Order: sequence, then structure tokens, then C-alpha cells
Amino acid sequence: MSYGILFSGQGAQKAGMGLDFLSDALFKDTIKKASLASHQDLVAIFKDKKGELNKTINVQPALVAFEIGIFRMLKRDCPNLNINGMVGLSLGEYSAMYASNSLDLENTLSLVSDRARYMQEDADQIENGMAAILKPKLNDLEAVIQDLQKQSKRVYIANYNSPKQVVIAGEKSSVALAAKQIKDNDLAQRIITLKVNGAFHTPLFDHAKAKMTKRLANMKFQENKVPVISNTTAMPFSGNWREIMAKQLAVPTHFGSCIQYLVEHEQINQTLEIGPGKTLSSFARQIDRRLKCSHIGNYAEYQAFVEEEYGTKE
Amino acid sequence: MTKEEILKDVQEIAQDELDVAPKKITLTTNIKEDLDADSLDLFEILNELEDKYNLDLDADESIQTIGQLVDFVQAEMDKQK
Repeated sequence: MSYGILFSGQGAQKAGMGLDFLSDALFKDTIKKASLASHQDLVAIFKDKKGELNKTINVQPALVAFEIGIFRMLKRDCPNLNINGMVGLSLGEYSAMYASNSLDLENTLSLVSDRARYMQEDADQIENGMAAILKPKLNDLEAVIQDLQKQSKRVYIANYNSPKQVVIAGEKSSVALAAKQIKDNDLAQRIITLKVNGAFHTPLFDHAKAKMTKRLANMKFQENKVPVISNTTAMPFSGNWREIMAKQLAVPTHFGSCIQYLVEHEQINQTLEIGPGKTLSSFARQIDRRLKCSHIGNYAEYQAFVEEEYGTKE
Repeated sequence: MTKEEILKDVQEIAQDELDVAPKKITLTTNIKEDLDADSLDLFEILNELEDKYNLDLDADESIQTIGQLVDFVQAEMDKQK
């Protein structure tokens, strides 16, 4: 089995996530260090008693710490896991950054924490909207969006998730206008307005991008040991983390192409999604039906995965 | 079509879309909680059913169980005949 590891992004969070892992000393240690590095009480955020998980500023460090915690356990319990490549969706790229040995835990969490703050600041500036477009006629859809942009409407394609799903985002009224045109012209099978405030991966986050560029200026990355495929370029990161991780905030993600790359160039035949939800596994299956997809979102799933790994060994 | 026939198709589609075994999908299965699916997954399933039956399924997120989904599809089939 040759694995591609998938790290979930924002939107995958669930109240209570991670709590069942805290009895594991290594996971607990990860969360403790991550809490210190991000200046946040991550266990309180996991519990979500006061709706902490509704805020970008809380969700981002919590999700990355959760994913890194599980990844560290996996390295301990399945040291021979055959990992050919990795991809994270947006925020998940920070988990991949750590997992590929490009940056240590403290610096990764510190970056994520600042990133979350910059993004929250931009998200609060303007009423954002997002809509998922299922089974789009992609060329026609892109033409509609370009036309609207020529009329100074702030709407963009933010995520190319799979051949069956793209997400448009931007100023709320412009997204509504685009959605109406897509519907009226029958350019997609279904349009779903998402209840999320944050047109991430559009020029609405240019300020966050500028701040992140400054923040990353002096950060030193190691050459990653495992290929990590960038959402921005759909190519492996290679000495360009600094530039790409800033740019990433204001340009579309190409998750579908990243999976395609992992299959074609890194020869993966199995994916393992680390994160509370299974969204990335669905995308991976939409891209290549031959992929076997596993998922770890809670401790029971973790145990089952490790047992299966050992069961399949000689 | 009978409920059983629709359920069988739903099982097949859900297996393909969500990677879950058909026996895990019964009329009382809660789509989000039991199948770990999000609302977009539900819409993906509806899209496949639309294509299969040549129907227009304009559903909202009130559908929670497989049973409700099957009932909804059957009602729309009768309506759109």
C-alpha cells in the first residue's frame, strides 16, 4: 500500500473533537505544546462549550494541533507506514508542513495562530458569501464569473475541489448574483449557499496575504522529506513554502489536481484522511474511484486503522 | 417503484459516494450521524438519484434519515410522472 495522507481544512471541525485522544500521552503532549505556541487553551476549544469552534481564530490552531497530534501517534505506532505523498486542504497544508518535517511544532502553530488572526481581520471587513456548485459546466461557469468581475463584482472561484464540485466566494451580494446566473443558465446541477463567513482564497484576503508575507519573511523551512502537493500550484513544494503559504490565502485551491498528482506522480493507491470529517475522502473518490480511502477522526477509528495496518503486515 | 427498490438504489449510490457498506444503510439510518456525511454529501446523493430517475429533486436539509430520503424520492416520482 502506498499512502497519500490528506489533512482536513477549516469546516471539518466538530465539537468534542480530540477529547477521546487525550488519554494518549503523546497526543496530550502535542496539545500542550500547541496550546503554548498558539497562546490558546486548545482543550477548551475542542470542548466548544461556548461556541469557540465558530470562530476562525480558534478553529485554525485547534484543527492543526489535532491533526499533528494524530500524525505523531501514527509515526510512533506505524513507523513503517509507506507514505508517498501528502496534501492538506488550505489550513491542512500547515499540518502537512509539520508532518513532512519542513517546520517544527512550535513554529507551525505560531504561524497558524497568526494566520487565523489575519484572516479573521479580513473576514470582519465585509459581508462574505460562499456557494458550493455541484456538477458544474466549468468553462461556462468560469465565463460567468469573469463577466461579473468585469462589471466590478467581487466574486471568484475559490476552491476547485473535484470534477464534481467547485466553490465560489466573495462579497455576499455578488455571490448571490453569480449563483442566480448559474442557476438561470443551467450551468450546474445544484447550487448550495454555505453558511460560512469567509471568502477564503479570494482577493478579499489580500490584506491577510500581505501580513502573512511579512510574517513568513524570516521563517526558515527545512527541505521536506515527503512530497507535499501545494493547493496553489498543484505541484510539490520545493523550497518555496514562504512564498506559497502567503499567496495561498488569496488564490484558489486546486485540491482535485493535487490528488491527481499524487496518483500519477507519487503512485499512491490509498488515502488516509486525518481530520474530524470525511470530506477529502469523498473528493479523492470522485477523482479516482480506484483509491481506497481510510479516515481517522476519532480514537476508535485510530485504533481500527493501526490494527488493520499490523494485521496486513507479514 | 417500491420503497425497497429505491432503497436498493440509494444503498448502491451511498456505497459509491460515501464508501459505506450497503448493509449499514437502512430506512432508520441517520445520514449525517450514522454515515458521517455532511450536507454536501446528501446533495451528491440527490444528484445521482436525479440522474438515475430523471427527476428534479429540489430538497432542503430537512431530510435526515435514509427513510425520509426514500419517501421524498417516491413522492417526487409520483408527482413528476
